[in-house]
Amino acid sequence: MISLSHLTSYLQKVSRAQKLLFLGVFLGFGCIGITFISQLYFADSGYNFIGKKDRQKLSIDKPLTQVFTAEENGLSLVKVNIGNLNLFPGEAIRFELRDASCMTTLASDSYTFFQSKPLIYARFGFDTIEDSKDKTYCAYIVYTSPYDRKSNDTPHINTNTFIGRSYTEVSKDKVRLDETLQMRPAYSSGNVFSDVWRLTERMSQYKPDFIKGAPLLILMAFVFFGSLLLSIWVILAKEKGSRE
Amino acid sequence: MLNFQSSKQYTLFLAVILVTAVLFVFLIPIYQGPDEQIHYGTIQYQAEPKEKTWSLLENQNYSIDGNDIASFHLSEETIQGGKLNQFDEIKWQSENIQNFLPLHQSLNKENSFEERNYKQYIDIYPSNASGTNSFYYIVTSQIEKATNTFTFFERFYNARLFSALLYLGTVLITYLITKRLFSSSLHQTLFTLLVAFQPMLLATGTIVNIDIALIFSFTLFFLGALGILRDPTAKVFYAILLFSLVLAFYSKGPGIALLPVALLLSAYLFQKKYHFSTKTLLQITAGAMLLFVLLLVFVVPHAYLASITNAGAHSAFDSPYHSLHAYISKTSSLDAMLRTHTSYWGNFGWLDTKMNTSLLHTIALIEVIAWLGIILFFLSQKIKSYLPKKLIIILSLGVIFSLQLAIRFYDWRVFDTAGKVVIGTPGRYFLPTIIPHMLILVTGLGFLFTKNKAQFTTLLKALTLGMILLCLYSIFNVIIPRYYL
Repeated sequence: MISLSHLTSYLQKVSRAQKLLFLGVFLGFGCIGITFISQLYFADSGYNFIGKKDRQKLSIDKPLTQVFTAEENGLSLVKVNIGNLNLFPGEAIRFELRDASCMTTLASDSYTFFQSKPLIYARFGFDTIEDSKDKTYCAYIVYTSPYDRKSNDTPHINTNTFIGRSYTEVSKDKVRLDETLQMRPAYSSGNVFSDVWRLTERMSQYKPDFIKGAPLLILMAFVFFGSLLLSIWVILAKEKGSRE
Repeated sequence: MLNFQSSKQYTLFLAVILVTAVLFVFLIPIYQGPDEQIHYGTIQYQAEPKEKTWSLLENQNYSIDGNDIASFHLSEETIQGGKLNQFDEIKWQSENIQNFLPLHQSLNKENSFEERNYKQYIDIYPSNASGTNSFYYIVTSQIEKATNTFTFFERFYNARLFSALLYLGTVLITYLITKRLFSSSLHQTLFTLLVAFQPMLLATGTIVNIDIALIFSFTLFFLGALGILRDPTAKVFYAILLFSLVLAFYSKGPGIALLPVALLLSAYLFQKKYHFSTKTLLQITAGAMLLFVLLLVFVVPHAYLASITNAGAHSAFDSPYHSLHAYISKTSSLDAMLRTHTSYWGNFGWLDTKMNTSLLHTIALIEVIAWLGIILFFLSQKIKSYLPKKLIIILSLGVIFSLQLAIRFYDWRVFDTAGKVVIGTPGRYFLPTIIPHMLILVTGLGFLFTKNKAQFTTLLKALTLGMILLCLYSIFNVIIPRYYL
């Protein structure tokens, strides 16, 4: 076994460049790992946005609402497909999870200038609701800004025609029938390990039997931790006879 | 400190590359690689018996709706497999995902799919099977034929596994190339890792597509050319070069781009050996060009030439000048170049799974700096012994230029007929020159920022680590969330 003192004395022999590389690698692996875990929420997948696409402009302080029913327990966040998400400092897109009547706020989250641009969906998270299944909630989304921005410069939410769904432009009291905001409620079990297993199950769908489940999980784990080991080796490696 | 040459470490490198490739094989859902449905349909088509024992519906309406896989004239199984995987809903639409079912339900669905025994052959003609003569199709159709009792999922992923085998072959050849580029075994392995973990190479090299066959052929060609340049008496490299030319020709259309490079290489070798006068050299060049034209006219099949030049098609423009001018102004904008750059480094699936834009811009900046470094490398008299020689960089530039020209030429020819960009220049088309490209990057950066071998080692290490991280980021933060969360 390697003791802490051994490790310390070993690290003292490491050059400055290697220390910097170590820092970069651990930061990189940390960021990738944390981002992965933070994205581990399972969105509703029983429907897709296949109708006619459109977009709903977000005007300052003019909220949009849409009522939805949670399909599972463990509602933890709502993903919203927002376009043109170039927020200025001081601006925000505030999301509130409200009750079915859209009157009482149950939880809220904001997307601000300081958050990195999402690759697809912006995610609005809140404390997990354990018994959310079959309960109806309201997504209340509002754009706040201290600036007077041109309307074609402001963010929008991508929308679709969708029979049986509707959203409301609250300020105009206008209900958009058979249209939906592109958003998906997402769920978590609250346990990283069971969520990782659930991800493995999702990834196993329509794959050959020999790779389903544990083999796929082992592959993913090997790639992550094997790459970490490989990176450490790359940093410490030296040419035969080199005095580096 | 670790002794780099230990075989245990090589085993680790190989294992991580192998497992990463296998993970990529199963990472992206069925048909979510570009044109995968056509490529798999072509494999099935080529696996069919020559004598068609089933009734054919010929001269059927040939209007393909890109948003409806059922409109493709492919096998029933290929089409139903696409429907099962919600191909039309997910392709190009990053907001959409598969309908994920509880495990037992998805198993039932898979079983009932298999029980339907969908036809594995095409009965609607003209078919949408690709007309390209590619060794990739020949091998994979043999695998398909040999495993026709396997499930659809097994056979489809068999084809992807074959792609992964070509990817691994490419990595192995890259390692052999590095043995002729760098004297240091550490540099050799670091450069190999740098290439192996390029995320788009992994993504392209592990889907059902003939692109990886071309990448493999180009890599083999580079090995042959490099071997000849280093030792013009080594016959094995001539054999490799010739074999790679044939292989490239039977991989994909742009394979022909290697021919002019091979001719220039021959001219260089002749000149080096016989020291011709300028007059003789010009005569030989004229003769070689004539030979090249004769080869094109008499040896290369006319149908192939017509297909790669789009010859005989009606132009949508008044003159070739107008056509070319319109094409260049459409495709030479910064936006167009950034699109190619994006899909060269990290826009997965049907170009609907893009990595972070800032990251892509950072890579673009590093590339620009490296290219500046290459210009200085050529202008400077300074020799840095640990960097590749100028001749090798010239060869790299030649291969890159030739492929760029071939792809853009064909893209223009189709543009000329259609009046709009149809094929485009997605980055994966340029992956066959990934090794020359990476070589230019490390040489340019090495020339600018390093003063000695140790510093170059650190630079290579930093780049390699960056590439490993980029690969992991692509898997865990880009592709998995896009398709499964």
